[in-house]
Amino acid sequence: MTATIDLQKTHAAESSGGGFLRRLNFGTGIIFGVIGALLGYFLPHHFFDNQGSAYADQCTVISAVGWVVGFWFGIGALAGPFKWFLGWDQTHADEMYLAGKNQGKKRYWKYCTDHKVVGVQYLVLAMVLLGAGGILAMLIRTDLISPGTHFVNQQVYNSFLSLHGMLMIISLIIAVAGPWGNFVMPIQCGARDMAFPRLNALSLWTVVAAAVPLLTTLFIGGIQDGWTTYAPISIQTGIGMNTFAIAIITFVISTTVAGVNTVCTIMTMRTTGMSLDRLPIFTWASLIGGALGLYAMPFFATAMTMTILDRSAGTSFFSADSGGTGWLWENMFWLMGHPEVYVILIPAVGALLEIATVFSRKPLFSYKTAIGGMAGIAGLSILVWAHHMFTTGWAPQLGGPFMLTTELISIPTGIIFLVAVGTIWRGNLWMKTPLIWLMGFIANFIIGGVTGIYLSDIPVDNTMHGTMFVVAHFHYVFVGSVLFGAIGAVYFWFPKISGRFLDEKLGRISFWLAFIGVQVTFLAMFVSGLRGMPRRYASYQPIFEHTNVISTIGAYIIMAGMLVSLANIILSWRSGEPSGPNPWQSKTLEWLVPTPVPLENFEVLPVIESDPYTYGEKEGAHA
Amino acid sequence: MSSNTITHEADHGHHEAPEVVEGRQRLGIWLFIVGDVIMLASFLFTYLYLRGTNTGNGWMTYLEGDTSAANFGKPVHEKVLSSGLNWAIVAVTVLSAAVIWFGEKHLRSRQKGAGSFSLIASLGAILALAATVLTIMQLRSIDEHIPYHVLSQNAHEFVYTAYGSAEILLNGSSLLHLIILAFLGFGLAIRASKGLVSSEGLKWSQARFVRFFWVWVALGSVITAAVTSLVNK
Repeated sequence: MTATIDLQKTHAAESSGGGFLRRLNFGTGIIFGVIGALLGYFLPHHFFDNQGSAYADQCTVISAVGWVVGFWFGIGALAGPFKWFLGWDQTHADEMYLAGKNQGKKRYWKYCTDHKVVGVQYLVLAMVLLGAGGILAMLIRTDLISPGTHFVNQQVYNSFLSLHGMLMIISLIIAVAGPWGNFVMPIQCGARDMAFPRLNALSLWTVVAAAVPLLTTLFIGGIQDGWTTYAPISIQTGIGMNTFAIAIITFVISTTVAGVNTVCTIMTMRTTGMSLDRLPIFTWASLIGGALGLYAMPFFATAMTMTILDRSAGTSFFSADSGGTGWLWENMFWLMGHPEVYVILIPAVGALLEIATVFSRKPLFSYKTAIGGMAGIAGLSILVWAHHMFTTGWAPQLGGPFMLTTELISIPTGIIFLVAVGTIWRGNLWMKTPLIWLMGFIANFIIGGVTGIYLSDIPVDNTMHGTMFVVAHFHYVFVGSVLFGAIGAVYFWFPKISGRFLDEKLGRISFWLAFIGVQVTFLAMFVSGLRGMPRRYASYQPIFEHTNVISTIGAYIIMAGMLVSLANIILSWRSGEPSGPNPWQSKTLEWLVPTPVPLENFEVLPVIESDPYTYGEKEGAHA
Repeated sequence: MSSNTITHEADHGHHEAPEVVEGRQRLGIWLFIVGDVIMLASFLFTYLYLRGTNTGNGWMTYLEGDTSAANFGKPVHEKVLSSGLNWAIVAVTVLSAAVIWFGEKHLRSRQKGAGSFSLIASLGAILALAATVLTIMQLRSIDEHIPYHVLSQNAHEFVYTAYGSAEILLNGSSLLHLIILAFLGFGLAIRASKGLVSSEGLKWSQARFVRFFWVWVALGSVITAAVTSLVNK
C-alpha cells in the first residue's frame, strides 16, 4: 500500500509543475513560429530601404528565419541551451517528463526525448512529406498526359516540379534513417536511448520547422529553377526561393545534429560484447549513412547561404558580371548532391539486408564484405560529384577521372547486390511481405544501377543528359529502390512499434501495384528519353505522347499502391492482428525486448556473446 | 545473438558512470567540430575558387556604374580589406582561446578553482566580444569600397565584387562563431559561479569541451586570415 501511494506521488510530481516549459507542444510551436514570422516580416521596415530591389527578398528571408526561431522557441527546443547558460540544470523529474513518461499519446505532440517516440514521429512526418511530394508528382504526370499545358501554367508547373524534387529528397533522407535509425538502432546496439536525447528531438522538430517554409514556396510565387536550383536562375526567380533556401539550411542543421547523434550512439553506447563485428547490418548502415551526411550536407548549407546573400545582400557569388560564376554553385551543390544519394540509399540497403537474413533463415552472406561494400560506396561517393557536370564545360580535363570514379562505384554497389542475393540464395524463404519488397528492390535497383553506369560514360551522358532517360534512371533508384526499401522496412518493423502486423493481403496488393506501376511509368520514361524528350518541360512534341500517356497511367498505378499501404498502416495500427514481441523469430536485440518497448528499453543491459545472424546454426554456437 | 545471450547483467542500475558520459560527449563535440571544419573548408573553397576563376576579371574590379559621375564605365579596383585589422581579430581570438585553455588547466589542477575559473571564463567571453566588435568593423569596412550598379533611373543598388562577397561570407561566419564563443564563455562563468563547473569529479569536462571548440575557432581564424592575406589581389 505504501509503495502504491509513493508511486502515485512520484507520478504526480513528474506530471505536474515545471511551469511554462511543460506546456509547450506542437501547437505552441506553430503559434510562436507564426509570431516570429510576422515579426520577421514587419521588422525590416525599420532597417532596410523599402525602395530597394532586394527588399522583398530581405523581408521573406527574415520572416522565414523568424518562423524557424519562433517554432524552436515554441516547441521548447531552446530551453536546453538557455537553461545551461543560466545554470538551471534539468532534474531527473524534468528528464523523465521530457522523455514522455506517463504522458500517453500527448507525448507524440511534444519535444519528447524518448528515441522510440522520435522514431514514430519521424515515420509520420516522412509519410506526410512523401504524400505532399506524391501529390505534386501526380499533378505533374497528369499535366504531361498530352502535349500542351493544361490545368497549370508553365510557371506553376516549374514550381510543382522543383518542390516535388526537394520534398522527395528530404522525405527519402528521413524515410529510413528517421524512423528506424531512431526507434530500432539504439535497441540494436543495446543502448537505453540515443547518445544525446534532446538533440534527437531537436533533429526531428527541425525537419518540421524546415517543412513549413519549404511548402510555403508554393504560395508566394514558387520556385521555377528545378530542385537543383541552379544559379544564376536561382538569383532571378521569385521570392519563394528565399523560404526554400532557409528551409534547406534548417534541414542541414537537422541532418548534422542527427549525424552526430547516430555516430556517437553507435560508437559509444554499445552494450558489453557488442563489438563492431557483431553489429547488426542496419546499425552499420546507419553509422555509414550518418557519417556521410555529416560530410556532405554542410556544402548545401553554404551554397544556400550564398544564394540568400546574392539575392538579398548584393553579393556576387554566382553573377558573372561581378566576378562570380554559376560553376561555383554546381560544384557546391554536387559536392553535396551525389553523397546525398547514398545518404538516402545506404540505410534502406541496411534495412533490406536485415529483412534478407531474417526471412531466408540464413546468416547474412559475407557480413564483412557487406560492410566493406557500404563503406566503399560512401568513400567513392565523395569523389564522383563532377559527373553531374560533364555537359557544363567545367574542367573537361577532369572528365576522364570522374568517369572512372563513377564507374568504380558500381563495384561496391555490385557487392551489395551479391550479398543480398547470396543471403536469399538457397535460403528457407519465408515469403512474407517484407521479403517481397526486397525482391522488388533487387529487380529495380539493377535497372537503376545499370543505367547509372551508362550515364557515367561521357559520350552517353553528352547525348542523354537533360533528357527523360536521366529522370527514369534516378526514379528507378529513388522510387524503385529506396522507397521499396523504406516500405519493406515499415512492413518489417511495424509490429515492433505497434504490437500489430500489417495486413499481409493488403501488403501484397500494394507491392504488386507499386512494382507494376514503377515498370510502366519509368520504362516508358526511358523510351521517352531515348527518343530525345527533354526533362523539366511543361509540354512536349506530339511524338512523345504515347510514352507519356503510359508513364502517367503507371504513375496512377503507383499512387494506388501507395494508398493501399497507407490504408494498411492506418487500419492495422487501429485493429491489426496482434503480433507479440518477436513475430519474425529474429535474433537482433530489438526483437528480444517486450512490445511495447519499455521507456529505457532494457531492465538489465544484455551481454552479447554471438553475432546477430546465427540462423540455421545450433543455438548458442557462438556463445 | 540468440535469446540466451540476454542473461547477464552488464551494469547495475540505469545511471551511467560519469566517465562514460564524458567520453560520449567528447566524441560528440569532436564530430560537431568535424562538421564545422567541412563548413569552413567550403567557405575557403568558395574564396579560392572565385579568385582562381576571376570571371571577367571581376574578382576585385568593377566598372563605375553611377551615371551621374564623369568617369562612368571606368574600371575601379577594389581595395583589399585591412590586413592589420584581420590579424588583430585573429590575435584577440587566439588570446581568448589561450585564456580559456589556461582557465581549464587551472580548474583541473586545483581543488577549489571554480571561483577563479568563473572570472577567467568571463575574460575569455569578453575577449570574444571584443573580437566580435572588430569583426563588425571589418564587415563595415567592406562597404567603404563597394561599387553600385544603376538598376533604374532612381534606384542605385550596391553590388559587391566576388572578393567582397567571399569576405562577407568568411567574416559573417567568423562573427557567428564569436557570438557562440561569447555565449559559451559567459555560460561557463555563470555555471562555475554556481558550482556546476568545478574541479570536483568530472565537473570540469564542460570547460574542456568548450575549450576544444574555442581552440578550433581560433585555429580556423588563423587559417582564414592566412588564406585571405596570402591570396587576395
